[in-house]
Amino acid sequence: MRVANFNFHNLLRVRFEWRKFRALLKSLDLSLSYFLVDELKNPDITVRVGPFKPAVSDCRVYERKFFVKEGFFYGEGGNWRANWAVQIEGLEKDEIFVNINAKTRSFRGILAPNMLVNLIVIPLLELKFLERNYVLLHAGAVSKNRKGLLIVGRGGSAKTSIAMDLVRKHGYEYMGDDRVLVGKNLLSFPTHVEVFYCMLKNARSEYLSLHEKIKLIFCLRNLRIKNLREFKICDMSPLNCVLFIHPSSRPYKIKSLSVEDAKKKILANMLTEYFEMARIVGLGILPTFEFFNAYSAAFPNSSVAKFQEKLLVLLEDLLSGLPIYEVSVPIRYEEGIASVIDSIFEREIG
Amino acid sequence: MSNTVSFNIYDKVRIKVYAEKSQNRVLKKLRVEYSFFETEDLSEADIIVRIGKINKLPSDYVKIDGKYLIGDDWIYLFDSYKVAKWNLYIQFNSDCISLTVDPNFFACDLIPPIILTPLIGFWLNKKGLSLVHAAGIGFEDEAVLITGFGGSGKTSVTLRMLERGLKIFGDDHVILEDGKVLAFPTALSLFSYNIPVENEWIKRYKIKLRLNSLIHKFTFGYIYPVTKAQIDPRLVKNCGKLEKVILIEPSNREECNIEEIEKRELVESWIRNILYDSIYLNKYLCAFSYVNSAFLNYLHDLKETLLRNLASCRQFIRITFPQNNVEKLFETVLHVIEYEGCKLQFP
Repeated sequence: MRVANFNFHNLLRVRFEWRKFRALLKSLDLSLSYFLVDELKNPDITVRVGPFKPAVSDCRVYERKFFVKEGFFYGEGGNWRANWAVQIEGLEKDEIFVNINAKTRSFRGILAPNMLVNLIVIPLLELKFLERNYVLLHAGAVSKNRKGLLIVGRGGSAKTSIAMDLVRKHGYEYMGDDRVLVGKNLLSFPTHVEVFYCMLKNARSEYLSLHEKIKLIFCLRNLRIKNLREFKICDMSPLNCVLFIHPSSRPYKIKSLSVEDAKKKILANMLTEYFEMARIVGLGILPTFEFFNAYSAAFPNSSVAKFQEKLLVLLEDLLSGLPIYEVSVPIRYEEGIASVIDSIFEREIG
Repeated sequence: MSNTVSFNIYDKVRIKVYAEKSQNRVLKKLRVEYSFFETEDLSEADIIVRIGKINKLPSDYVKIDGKYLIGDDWIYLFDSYKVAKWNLYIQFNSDCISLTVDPNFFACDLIPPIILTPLIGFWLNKKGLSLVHAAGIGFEDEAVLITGFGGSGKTSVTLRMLERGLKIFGDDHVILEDGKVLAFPTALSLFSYNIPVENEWIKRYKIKLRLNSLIHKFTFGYIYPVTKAQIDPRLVKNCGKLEKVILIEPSNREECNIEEIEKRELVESWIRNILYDSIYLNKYLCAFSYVNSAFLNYLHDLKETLLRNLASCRQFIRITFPQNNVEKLFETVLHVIEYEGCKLQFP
């Protein structure tokens, strides 16, 4: 059995246990490697990967495949890339146990089980962080002189490139390029996964040959495994400015946004992310979204069902009084974007 | 013109469909699905559907996720489900929605359930009506709605009710207007599990159903052609007063359980159901509202409209029943609506 322990800023502790896992996949679980710790006491979430026996007695059944009872969830799913079964216990309690078992099928499915682990765990993390009054946002963040800048954008809006350019050329410190924790302070949340997919997505649109694609996959795989700790990372900073990045056919327009609009945009971003993440494993909808939907239908007063409400209340609190802008940038990334963002930030905090 | 078809849904939603010659198959599917509402011709339309290639897009847009192009009032996207693939362009005008769909061969079946029906719901919601995911059964002047997630047994119960000689409002969706139920009978989706034992009317679909299950089996679940049974208008009741809403929930317990629940609780559960039922359109609307934040109010409005339309309904019942035991469910539902039916001779 292989164990990996993660400690997220002492807010949340997660333990992964692999039973029976293929060697090929060993190196692919590092998207959260920044938070890896050697030992962990009392994990909040324990994820067990491998075969398990579902305890589905006395459950309600939704869509013929989701089994729900108080604090408990079991669901099955599958497509031609992978088949999986997921069980979540103790949803309303302090300690959550997750069991995941997956079998892969085709070549593209090789990545599926590990992706799946992330796909299932990340929404759970969002839920648990929200209980601790932190929002795990799909956004990038950088900081300069202990002032934090939040960069919100959908996939393909070059969040990663912008963050990297700001760090390399404009003297910012890195906090995260895909996800970041927003609470009374910004907390870093560096991951690797989206670098991988974002680039692969570009590769798809540029019609590379199969040979080139395979080379790219190997190249990116090696990139991901590098330890992120070598990078200069700022762990905590106050939040001072929020920018929404829109890759648009009419670039470099800046619009001020109200807190109300920003809240809605962030919620829409989160929901769209649920749908888009699912595309990685060849699904229409993220499994956890389906699970939570079924669970909320069964228990309308549970914390799962109240997630969106609570999120909006917390965001109202966190965003009020901050400068919030919507920036149109060119669809193809160019270095000028980072300079524009730098100048906006300088103006706002300067 | 042969490649145009119009549907009129109680003058609230008027739909006009144009299809290119190569896409006449889609037109056929639509006519089966919405046969109840087909009309000769319409001068105006609320939803204009074009099926065929999407030619020109406006030049001013925001591009997100590498696949959604979003303008001020339009969205263009590419999406797929297993082998089905489609391009879609939706333009929201103040007085109509016009959309262009370019489906591949396999996506023809999916256009009505995942795009057009949710869009009808979207439009009805705008007019203060609710299109809800439920089966509606009429007895005398009253209507009972049976709601539940997919696969919970709505169609099975409906088919058995038809067998008993009751009329229906629809097996999957009905329209609610201020305490009234309006019929929205779409073609029945038949699966091997919801065919009742002896039913003359449904018998002729059995061979097709078996063939489709075979295709499903041999492609390892990759392709699943749905068997659609066009609904006979004589079996449909147009309008009725909403009396009861029954929420059915399969479980793996042995016993049946009947309990009365609060309206709020039922609506919360129902909204999740409706959201899940129209998940693809909601996905597109979500992407749209990321750019133009106005649209996220839709989900909130949906709930408010539903509560308003349910205002005069007093009785909300939840039935929990053993999974796959449709007979027991049917008995319980009959018990709940207190009705002793007689056998009807089918035409």
